[in-house]
Amino acid sequence: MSSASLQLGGDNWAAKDGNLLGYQRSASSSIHIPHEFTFTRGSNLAATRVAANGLIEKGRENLLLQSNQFDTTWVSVTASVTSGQSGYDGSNDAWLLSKSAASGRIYQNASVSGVATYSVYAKSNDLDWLFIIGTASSYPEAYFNLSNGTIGNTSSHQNFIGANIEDVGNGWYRCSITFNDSLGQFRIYPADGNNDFSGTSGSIYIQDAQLEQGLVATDYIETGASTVQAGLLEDEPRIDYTGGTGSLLLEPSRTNLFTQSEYYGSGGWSINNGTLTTNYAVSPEGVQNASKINFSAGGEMVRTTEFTAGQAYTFSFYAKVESGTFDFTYGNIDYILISGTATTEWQRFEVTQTAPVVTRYPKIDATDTGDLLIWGCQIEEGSYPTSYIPNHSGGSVTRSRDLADNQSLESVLGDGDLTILYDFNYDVVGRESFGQLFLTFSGADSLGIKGTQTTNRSLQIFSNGGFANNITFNNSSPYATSHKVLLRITSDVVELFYNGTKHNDTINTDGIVGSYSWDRIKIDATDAFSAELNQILTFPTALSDAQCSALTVEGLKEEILTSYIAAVDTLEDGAEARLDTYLQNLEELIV
Amino acid sequence: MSFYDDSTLLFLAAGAVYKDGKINTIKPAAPNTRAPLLVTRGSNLTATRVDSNGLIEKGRENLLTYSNDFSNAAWSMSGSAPIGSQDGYDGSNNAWSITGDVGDNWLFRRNNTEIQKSGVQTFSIYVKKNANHGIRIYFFGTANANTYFNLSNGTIVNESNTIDSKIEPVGNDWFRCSITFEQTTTQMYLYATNNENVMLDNITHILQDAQLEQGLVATEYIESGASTGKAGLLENEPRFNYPIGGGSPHLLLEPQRTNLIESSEYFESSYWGIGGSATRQLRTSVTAPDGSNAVYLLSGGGEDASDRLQNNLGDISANGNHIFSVFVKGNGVATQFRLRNNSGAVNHVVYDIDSSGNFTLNSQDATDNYYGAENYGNGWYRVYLKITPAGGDNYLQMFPDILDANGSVYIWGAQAEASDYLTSYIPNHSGGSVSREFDLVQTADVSSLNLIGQNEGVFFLDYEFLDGQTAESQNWIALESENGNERVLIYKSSSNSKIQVYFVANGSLVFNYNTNVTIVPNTRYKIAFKYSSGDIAVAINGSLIVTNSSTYTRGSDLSRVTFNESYIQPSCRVHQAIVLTSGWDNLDLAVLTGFTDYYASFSEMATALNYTIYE
Repeated sequence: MSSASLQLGGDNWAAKDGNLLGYQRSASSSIHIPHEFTFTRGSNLAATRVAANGLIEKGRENLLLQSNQFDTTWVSVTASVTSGQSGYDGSNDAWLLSKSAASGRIYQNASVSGVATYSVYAKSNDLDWLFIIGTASSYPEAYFNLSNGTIGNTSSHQNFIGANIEDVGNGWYRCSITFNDSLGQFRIYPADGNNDFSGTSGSIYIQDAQLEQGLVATDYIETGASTVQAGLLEDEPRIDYTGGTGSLLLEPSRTNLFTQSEYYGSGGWSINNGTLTTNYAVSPEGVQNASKINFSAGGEMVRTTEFTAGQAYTFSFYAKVESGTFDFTYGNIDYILISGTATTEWQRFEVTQTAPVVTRYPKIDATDTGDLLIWGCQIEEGSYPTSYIPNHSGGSVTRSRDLADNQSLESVLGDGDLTILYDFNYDVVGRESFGQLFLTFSGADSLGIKGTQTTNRSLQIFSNGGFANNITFNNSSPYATSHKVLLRITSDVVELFYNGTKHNDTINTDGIVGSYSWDRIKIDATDAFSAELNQILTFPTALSDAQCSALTVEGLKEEILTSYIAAVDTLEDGAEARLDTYLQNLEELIV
Repeated sequence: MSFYDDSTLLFLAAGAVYKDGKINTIKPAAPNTRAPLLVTRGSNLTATRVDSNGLIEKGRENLLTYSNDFSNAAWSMSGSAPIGSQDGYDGSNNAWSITGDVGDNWLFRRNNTEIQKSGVQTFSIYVKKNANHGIRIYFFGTANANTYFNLSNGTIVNESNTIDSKIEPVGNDWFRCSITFEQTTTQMYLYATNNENVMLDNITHILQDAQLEQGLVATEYIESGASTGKAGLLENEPRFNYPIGGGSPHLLLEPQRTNLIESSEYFESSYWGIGGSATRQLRTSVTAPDGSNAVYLLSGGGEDASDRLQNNLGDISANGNHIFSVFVKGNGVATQFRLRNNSGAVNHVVYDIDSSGNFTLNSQDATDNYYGAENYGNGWYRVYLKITPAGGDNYLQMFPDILDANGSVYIWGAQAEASDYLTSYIPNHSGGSVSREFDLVQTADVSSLNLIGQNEGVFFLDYEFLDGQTAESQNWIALESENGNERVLIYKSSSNSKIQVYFVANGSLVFNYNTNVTIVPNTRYKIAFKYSSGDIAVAINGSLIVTNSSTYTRGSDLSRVTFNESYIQPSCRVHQAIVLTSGWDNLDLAVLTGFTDYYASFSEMATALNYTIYE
C-alpha cells in the first residue's frame, strides 16, 4: 500500500500559533512535504491543555511594555536608570535605579483588571529596600527587604491578595504583589527602609518587570513595544497529553461562568465554616496557586450563580488533600449533591446538572473536616465538561472553538477516488452533540463525521450536510473511546469502515457521488462533539477492503492489548507476543 | 531511497562509457549481466557532435589501405622494394626508405580504387627533410592536381589545379606535405625533384604515414591496414553531445537527414556560384568550428548589396520545408549578413554583425518563424532558417553585406536539409548529397537478466526534445517485450504536443494518458512512469501528474529498453534512462523527477517552519 498522501498527527504533531502541521511523507520516510493547516481559536488566552509533563498549560502575557528597558516607556520621577548591570540570570541586562530626591521612582502606565500579579527582580545596592505599588483604585503595595528576603509593610485593602519574595540567588530576589483590582499604573521605588522612601539619594538594582493575570508570578516574558504572550497562545493548536499520549484537542466554544476561578477570597464565593489560604500549594498547573480551605463541621464553599433555567450546566473543579482522603459532596445546580473523595493526587470532579431556576448555588459541601486543596473551578453551559478555562476577571471568559482548515489540498487529495481515515478519541457517554466535526470537501460539497442528538449514542456520517449513515454503538459496534472511522469514496459509492469492520449498509451520499475535486479538509468544533484527534490519513485512491480494515483495526487490537495488559499485574514471558499473534489472527478473521 | 541503489538498469549520459556501437550502462555493472545500449546509425561517417572541447567532431577516414606499409602491393614502386624500419618523424622506426628506379622519376604510385575518389580531398604524407631533393605529388583525374614541395626549406615550389597545398614542419627534420583538391581521381604519383620544378630519377626519400581523406585539410593521421582506418566519430558511435556553453553531455538522437549542399565547406566549388561582385577566399589562419584551419572569407564587392554566394538546389519543393544553415563569423568589420532562399516566399533572415562579432537579429521572414543564430563559440554562429521552397530552382543564398556590400564574413559548414527543424551538421565533400542515418539505440532482449520488473517497476526518462518538431507523434521511447504485447511508451502526442504515456499489458491497453505537460523544445523533462497492477502513476519534472488504479496481468515479459519504438525516428537529447524493479512511492517518484521542495524528516520540516514539535 502506498503511503498516505496526507498525514495529520499520528506520531508527528507540530503546532505554532495559527498553524497545525500536516504533511505528506514518502514510503521511504526520507521525504516530508508540509501541508499547513490554519488554526484559529479566538483572540484570548482562555484555552488550556495538558502538556507532556502532565501539567495544565495556560497562555500567559506580560502586560507591561519594554519590560526590561527601563529608559523607554517607563517614566522617571527624580530618579535615573543605568543599564549594563550584572543581572540575576548571569547577563548584564540589569539596571541601576537611583533616586535624586524623596519618592524617586520609575513607573509605567498599563491597564489590568481582575486578579493579577506585578513582579520585578531586585537586588540591594546602597539601599536595601524595594517598594512596588499599583495605582489607582486600592493602591496595592508592598515593601521588600533586599538584604534578608523578607516582606515589610503591605496593603491592607481587601483587594490586595498578597505579596511574595523569592530568593533567586546572588543577592537577587523576585518580588511580587497580587491583587484583585483595576489599575492603571505600576511603580518601582528604591526605598530607604520599611514604609520609607523619604531619602533623597540611593539606589538598587532592578531587572525584568512583569504584570500578568493570575495569582502568581510565572516565568518572565520579555516585551518590547508590544506585550508578549507565552505558553499556550491564542491560536495555537492544543496537543493534549491527557492519558499520556499527545492528540489534538478539539472542543466547541465554552464559557467559564465563574469569575476568579482560582481565587476564592471574593467574587461571590462564600466559604462557610472554613478558612481560606490562597496560594497555599502547587496546583495542577505546576505553580503555587492552589488554595487550601480548612473546613470545620458544616463547612461549605458556595458560589451564587445565574443560569438559564432548563439548560444543562457542568460544574467542575480540581481537588486533592495533602494526606489521607477527604469526602465531600458537590453539585447543587439542580439541588442534588453527588459524592466525591479527594486523594493525594489532583483529580478533576465533574457533574452535569440542569438548572431548574435562574439563580442557583453550586457548591462543595465538606463531609469531612480538615484541609482540602482546591483549584480551577468552572461552570460551563453544556452537557459535558471541557478543558479548564482560567478566569481571573470579574466577568465570564469564553474559549472559542478549535478550527483547523486547509483549502489547498488538491495535490494530495486528487480528483477521483479517495480513502480517508479519522482516528480519534471520543467518550460517547454523555458527550453527544450533533455538529459536524470532520469535513472533507469536493468543491462546495462536504463529507464527514458528526455527532448525534443527546442520548443517541452514535456517530453520524454526513454527506452534503445530510445524514448518510451512522455508527451506532451496539453489539456489532461496541462502545469504545477510540474510534477509527474510514470512508472509502469512489465515483459510485461511499463505504464506511469502523474499527476494523466494514459496514454493509448502503450509505446515502445525498448526491455527492460522481466526479470529484477534493481540495479541502476542515476540522471545525462548532457545535460539534468534543474529540481528541490522533491522526488523519488520506489516500487518493480506493484502498482494498483488507487495507481499509487493517487501517481501522490496528487501534482496536492495540486497545485490547493495552487494556488486557493493564488489567493484570504481571505477564508471563512471551505472553505479550503470543497475545499479539492471537489478536493478529483475530484481525484477519475480522477482515 | 536511492535511485542508484534501487535501479537495475541505469544509463546516465554524463557518465557514459561507450565504444563504436555500444553504450555500457552504469547498472548493471557486473560483466555477466551487462545490458548495454546498442547503437546503430548506418555505414558512413556523416554524423557530427559537439565534443567536450566545444568543437564539432566529425568522423574521419584514411581512405588508403596499408597507409604505412609501402611494401604492400597496394603501392606500386618504380624501383627496388622499399626499406622499412627507418627513423620516423614520431620517434618510431616506422618510416620507409623509397628509391626511384633508374630512369624513373617517380617513387611510387597508386591507381587502385582507394585512390579513385571524388569530391574535395586532401592527401598527405610525412617526408624527411632533404637538402637536395624535393617531391612532387600528382593526382591525375578530372582536375590533375599537383604540387612541388621543397624539402630543404619547407616551401611550396609550385602547385596547380589544387584548392590548397601545405608543407608543415613537424620536427626532427620532417615535413608533412599535403595537397587538397576537388576532382575524380584516376591515379596518383609521388615524384622526386631537385627541390625545384625538375623531376629526377633514382632518388631516395624517407617517407611515412600517407593519408587520403575527404575535406579541406589533412587531419591527424589514421593508420590503416587491409581496411581503411577510421577515427573521430565513428559510424555507430553514440553521440555524446556537449552543450556549447559547457556542462555534461547528453546522448543525441536525430532522425535521418540529408545535406543537399554538394560541397559544404569548399565554397569555391563549382556547385557554388557568385552573384554580383562577391568574392570568396580560403583562409587557413582562421579556426573553423571543427578546430581545423580552413574557412572561407565571403566579401561583398562594394558596389551591389546583392553580392552573394549561392547554391542552386534545384526543385526541392516536393520534399516540403527545408532548413538552410551556415556557420558564420564576423571578421572585425560591422556588416549585415543575410541567409535566404530566392524563390517562393523568399524566406530570409538578416543578422547585424558588429565589429566585435556580436549577432543581432535585423529581420526575418522564416517559415513558421523558425530561424536563429546558435552560438558555437569563438565567434562562430550557426545561422539558420526554415524555408518553404517553390517549384523550379531554389537557391541557398548568403549575402555578406546587404547594407553597402563592403562587409565580409567568414563562413563554414553550409547545410540544406529537408526538415522542419535544424539538425546537427552533416559534412559533405562528395559533390552529391550525403545522408546521416537516424540514431537507433536499444538494449538487446535482457529478460533473462531479471533487470526489468514485470509485475511492478518504474521507467524513468530524462530527456529534451529538439526544437522545431511538428505536432507529429515523436520520440517513442519504450520499455517493451519482444512480441510487443507489453509496452510502456512515452512520447509526444500527435494531437497536442503534450507528453503522452501509453501502457499495454498482455496486448490490452491498460492506461493511455495525455498529460498536461506541453513540450517546450530544448527543455529537459524528467518523466517517471510507475506500473503496478492497481497502482499506476506518472510524475513529470517534480510533480505527480496522474494516478490510476487500473489492474492488469502480464502475458509475457518486458525485455528491452528502446529509444526507437516507433517507425518515427527519435529527435531528442537523452540525459538519463533508469529502470527500477519496484514501484516506488508516488512522492519518491516526484522526487526522482526533480521535486526538491521537501524535508528529510518531520523534525527538520517542523523546525524549518518554526513549529513546536510535540513528541
